[in-house]
Parts: sequence; C-alpha cells; structure tokens
Amino acid sequence: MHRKLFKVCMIGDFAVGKTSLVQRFMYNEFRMDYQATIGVNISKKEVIHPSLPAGRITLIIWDLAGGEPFTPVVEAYYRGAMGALFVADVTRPSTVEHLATYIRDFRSVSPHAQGLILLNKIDLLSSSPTSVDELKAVAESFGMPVYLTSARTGQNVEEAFTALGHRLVEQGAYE
Amino acid sequence: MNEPADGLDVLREILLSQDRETLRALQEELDRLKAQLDDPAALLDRIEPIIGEALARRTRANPQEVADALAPVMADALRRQIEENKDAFVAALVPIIGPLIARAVQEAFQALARRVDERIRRATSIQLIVKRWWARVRGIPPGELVLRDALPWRTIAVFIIDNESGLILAQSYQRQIFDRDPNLTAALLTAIRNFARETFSQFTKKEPGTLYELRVASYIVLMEEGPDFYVAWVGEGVPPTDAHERLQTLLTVLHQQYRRQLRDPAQQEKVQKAIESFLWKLLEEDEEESSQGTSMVGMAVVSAVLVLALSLCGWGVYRLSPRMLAYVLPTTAKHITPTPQAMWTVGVLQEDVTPYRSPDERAERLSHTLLQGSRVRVLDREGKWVHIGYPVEGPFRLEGWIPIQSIRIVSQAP
Ligand SMILES: Nc1nc2c(ncn2[C@@H]2O[C@H](COP(=O)(O)OP(=O)(O)OP(=O)(O)O)[C@@H](O)[C@H]2O)c(=O)[nH]1
Ligand SMILES: [Mg+2]
Repeated sequence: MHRKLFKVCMIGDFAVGKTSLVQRFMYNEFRMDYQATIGVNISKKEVIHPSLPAGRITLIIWDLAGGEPFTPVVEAYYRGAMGALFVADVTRPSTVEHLATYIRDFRSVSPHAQGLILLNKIDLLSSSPTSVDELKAVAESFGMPVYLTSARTGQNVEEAFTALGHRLVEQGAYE
Repeated sequence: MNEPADGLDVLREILLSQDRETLRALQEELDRLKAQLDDPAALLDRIEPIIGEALARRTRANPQEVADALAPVMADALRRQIEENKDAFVAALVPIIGPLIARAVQEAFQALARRVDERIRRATSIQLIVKRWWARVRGIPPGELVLRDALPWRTIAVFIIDNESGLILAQSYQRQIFDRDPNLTAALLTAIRNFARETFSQFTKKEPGTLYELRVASYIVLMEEGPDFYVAWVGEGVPPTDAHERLQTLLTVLHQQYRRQLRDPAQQEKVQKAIESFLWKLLEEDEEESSQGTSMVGMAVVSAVLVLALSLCGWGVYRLSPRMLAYVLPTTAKHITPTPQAMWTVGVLQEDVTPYRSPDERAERLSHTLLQGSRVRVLDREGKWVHIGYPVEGPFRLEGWIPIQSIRIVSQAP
C-alpha cells in the first residue's frame, strides 16, 4: 500500500508567486493584488490522476512566507516535508539565484524530499524568450526539473503539482 | 403727469424686481437657517454627516491626537451620565460585554478548579482520602468535587500527529467540531506548536514531554510530545488533573508498540485501527464518568481498597502517589489500559441515511436507506466521511460512505 498524504512546502523569495500558484492550483483563481504571507498558510488539495495509486493522493501544502532568514522556526516548517516547490520570479533574476540557498537549507533538513523548480510569472516575459533560456539554464544547474509557470494564466501550474505528486509516489514505492 | 409716473414705476419694476426677488429669497433662507439654529434637532440633522466625516478623516490621520482631545471631555460626560442614569448604561453595555464577562468568569473558574485539583493532588495524605471518602459516603461532596462536577472534562477528539510533517497518524472523534479538514487542523496545530516552541525555546528548553496547551473559546487542546509523534487531546471543560500522565502513558505505549508501523505506509492503516481503540478508551472513560455520579460500585471499591490499604500500612501518615490515588479514588483520574486485541468501532445512525458509493457528495448512492438508530460498523474515515458496513457483525449486506454528522460512535465490539 502506498502513502496517500504528503507534506509539501512552497519555498522562494517574497512576492515570487508562491501563494498565487497555490490559489491557482486549489481554486483556479488569480489575484493581482499582493498580500504577503505571514508565517505559513496551510492548505490541502487532492491530486487526481489516473496513473496515481487509487487515482489520487493528497497534498498538505505549507505555503511559507518568502525572504525570511533560515531561523529555527523556518527549519521546523521544512521538517518532515516530503516534497517542495522552489519558486522564482522570471522578472527578477536574483530570485532564481537565491534558490541555491533555499535548496541547500531545505536539503539540510529534509534530505530525501523531492523538489521541483518553478520559474513563475512567465506571462510577463513572452516578448523576450532568450532571457528565459538563460534563467532556465541557471535553474537546471540545481539538479531538479524546471517548469515555466504562470499563476496568472494557469500555464503549467496543474502540471507542476501533478508532477510533484508523481515523484512523491514513485519515491514512496522505494521507502 | 400720469404717464411719466407710470413709466417710472414700470422702469423701477424692471430695474428692481430681480433684486427684490433675490432679497425675498435671501430673507426666506435666513429665516429657515435661523429656525434651524434655534431647533437643535434640525441643526444636528444637518451637521451630523459633515462632522462625522470630518472626524473620521481626522481620526484616521491622527488617532492619538483625537483621542487625547476627546478623552477628558468624554470621560467627564460619561461619568456624569452614569451617575444620572445607571440603569440605561447597564442595559446598553450588557449585550456587548456580557459574553466577555461570562468567558472571563468561566476562565477564572477553570483556573480555580485547576488550582484546587493541584492542591488535592499534592496533598494526598490518608487523612484527605478519608475526608473525601467520608464526604462522599455522607452525600456531602466537598467543594472541590462540586467544582469539578460543574466543569467536567469532555473529550471531543484525540489525534496522533507526526512531530515533523504534522500529518495525522491516527485519530478518534466524539463529534466533529472543526470546520476544516482534520488534516489541515493537525498541520496548523503543528505549525503553531513549532512556532511556539522555537520562539519560546529559552523558556521551555525543548524538553521532550512538555505539555502544551492551546485554548480556543471553550475548547482546549492538550498536546503532549513523544520522540516521533505527539498526541493532541481536544476537549471542553477542566482537563483532568493527571492529563499529563495519561497522555504520557498513551505515548509510551504507542511508541513502544507501534513506532515503526505508524511510520510505514504499508502498515499504517492496519495499525491505525488498533491504535484507535486506545484512543476510544480515553473517550469511553470520559463518557462513563459523566454518567457515573456517586456510583455504589465506585464507593464499594473505595471502601474495600481503603480498608485493605489501611490494614496493610497501619495508621501512619502515608502519602500515595497520584497514580495510586487514581486507582483508589473514583475521581476523574483514569488510566488507559490498552487492549491490544482487534476491536470494531460501532456507530449509531442519527438520522435516516442513504450511503454513497464513495466519499463524495456527487457520488452515486446505494439503493437502500438505513434507518435512524441502526447500528453499523465503522470501517474507515476520510475527512467528513465515514465508511460503514451493515450489519455490525458482518458479512455486510450494505457498505458505503455517509457524512460524519449522521453517525454517533458508541463503542467497540470484540
Ligand atoms: N503577472 C503575474 N503576476 C503574478 C504571478 N504570480 C503572482 N503574481 C503576482 O505577484 C505578486 C506576489 O504574489 P504572491 O503569490 O503573493 O507571492 P508570494 O511568493 O506568496 O509572496 P510572499 O508570501 O511574500 O512570500 C502578486 O501581486 C501576484 O498577483 C504570475 O504568474 N504572473
Ligand atoms: Mg505568499
């Protein structure tokens, strides 16, 4: 029997769109105004896909406040996570570079967790695809699958969460 | 002569009529304003909206300044008003602060009850036992007992939650109190606990086995931490004096027997069922307790044990540990005696129900309706849904999912 419940974290700089991605994934909605997350938001969502065991698994999503220093509280939030979505904003290249630190800190707490990188707000960069390629190359150097997403248009959002679901299940099989 | 005079009149009329008209209108306006000034009610009607808006704007811009300016005047006016008309004031305030006072009083009582509990727990000399026992026999409950009876502890739910991930490993319900999914509640509890523990770590020293307590309105969540998972015990009223010990016992048993299985997804479901019977034990004892009152059996046991204890120890000033006391006295102090054999969980339907094929409102329903009062076997739970089988003893003629509020869990059957 497979595990059905998974804790996953949304990690990345402030205002890169972590909460927006969760909102899009959960309720298929998007808000232009920005409300910084304080502490952590927790939500639950089923990932339904025919290839998953029993057709579905459940993610308990911990959406963390961005840009916080790696304090013991943040460490406690990372702990026990089975997966993470590392999010950066394609209009702010520094947020992609900062992923290195987030990934390192996260790995130090949950070394066996699965991770994906989401380069978000891709809708804002439609005019200059070359710069996206550069950012994507940087992100890929962190050794995880990279998705170009937009919480605004919904592009690749469902796909990214489902992909994480798959990786969690695959890993679970070898636990 | 007439003609020119007429002409002048006409001319005057032409030149002045407009002015005269204006003058008349002004006079009317003046009269109206004067009337308004003389009539306070009318004046108030006019300026209220303007002043209100101006005040609001001012208050937003500089709240402290407004407060400073108003405080002396308001305080004085209020004082005078209260002196002159106390009743009206009370009538106006009660609906607003009544519930706050009620809650404050309730909390004060709970604190008091706990202090009393603590005192009783510490002072466990034979004399006190005799006093309490004597009070019971004579039907005069000591004040402490009254207090405790007035604010009994009612268990609502028990969760075993993974320390790190905040995922529920096992759970047991008396009734559904959370709007949210229990998994979310558990994760949020874990986040709050993490936050509190790390923030106040210099005070708590992160000792394992620290009892955390979270209070929301009249609900209390007691959290006791073990090495791998923690127990969250949700209830209402005054927690039992030995809550800490009971939770520790539960945790010890769970860790000893089920530590590995609980973490193993392949075994989790099976183990969950077994564990839930421990948790039910906690709930059941609570139920018995509230219906027991001064039970004859309890008293007989007290007398017998007391006589035995006294004859064994002689009349010395002996102190019994709280744990021993729990066996001696029929108080709220109860212990968990885990029964490892497989148990069924049985529920009684609270209304007529037509079960669904899967835990989803849109799912297809079975063709049979189970009637209110029917006993069913509880097989599983998923969020707000319960998987049931009928009849209890099996083999099931009917198996499906029903909303949790349609069922009341009553007991286990072997
Ligand atoms: N154009 C565009 N804007 C986005 C997208 N995703 C998020 N935003 C906007 O970016 C801002 C920040 O989004 P949030 O989702 O609140 O960011 P966050 O990462 O949760 O921020 P913190 O909670 O502070 O860490 C909001 O104004 C969003 O509307 C996107 O894909 N495209
Ligand atoms: Mg956010």
